[in-house]
Amino acid sequence: MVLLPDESRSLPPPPLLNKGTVWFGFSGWLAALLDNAFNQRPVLRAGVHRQILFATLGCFVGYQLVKRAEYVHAKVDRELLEYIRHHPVDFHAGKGTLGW
Amino acid sequence: MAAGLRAVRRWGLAAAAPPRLAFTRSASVVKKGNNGQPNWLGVGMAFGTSAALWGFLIKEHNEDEMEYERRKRERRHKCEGCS
Repeated sequence: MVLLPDESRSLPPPPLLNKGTVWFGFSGWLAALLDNAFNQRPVLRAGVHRQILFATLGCFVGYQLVKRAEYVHAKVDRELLEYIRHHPVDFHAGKGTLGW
Repeated sequence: MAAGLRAVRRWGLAAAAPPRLAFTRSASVVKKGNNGQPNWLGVGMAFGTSAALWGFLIKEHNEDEMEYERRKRERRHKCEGCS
């Protein structure tokens, strides 16, 4: 199973700053801080290169995951709208048999 | 662990053999890491990888935007072609 099929490129790409990027980037940074804490180093000031690397990895993974999530949601929406288009009787508003 | 030792004694191992390997399994292992001297190779590799990852991410984002715009234009031209 491919993470991002080709048709996902027909969707507008998410902005670089989105909830996935922010959340995963933050959790990567937090993992670096935890690593500092467990190895008894000063938490914020030590291993800045490690903090940057982990945060970058988090942002990267978050971006790919948000792209995948948007593709899945768009696919489901397309299938739903296709179904509605093919079954207008079930979704016909106003002239329902129960009158509502 | 204490129950296990009691069981061992019950089995009649009168002369308790001294542990051959005196090592313990502990989750916390303290290494004599030297944080005073920076591991410049590691620092360089970390910064280099971060820069490469950011560059790749920004490039991918720009390429995705261009591809999306291109496909939008193609879709519009295709629809205008049939009407």
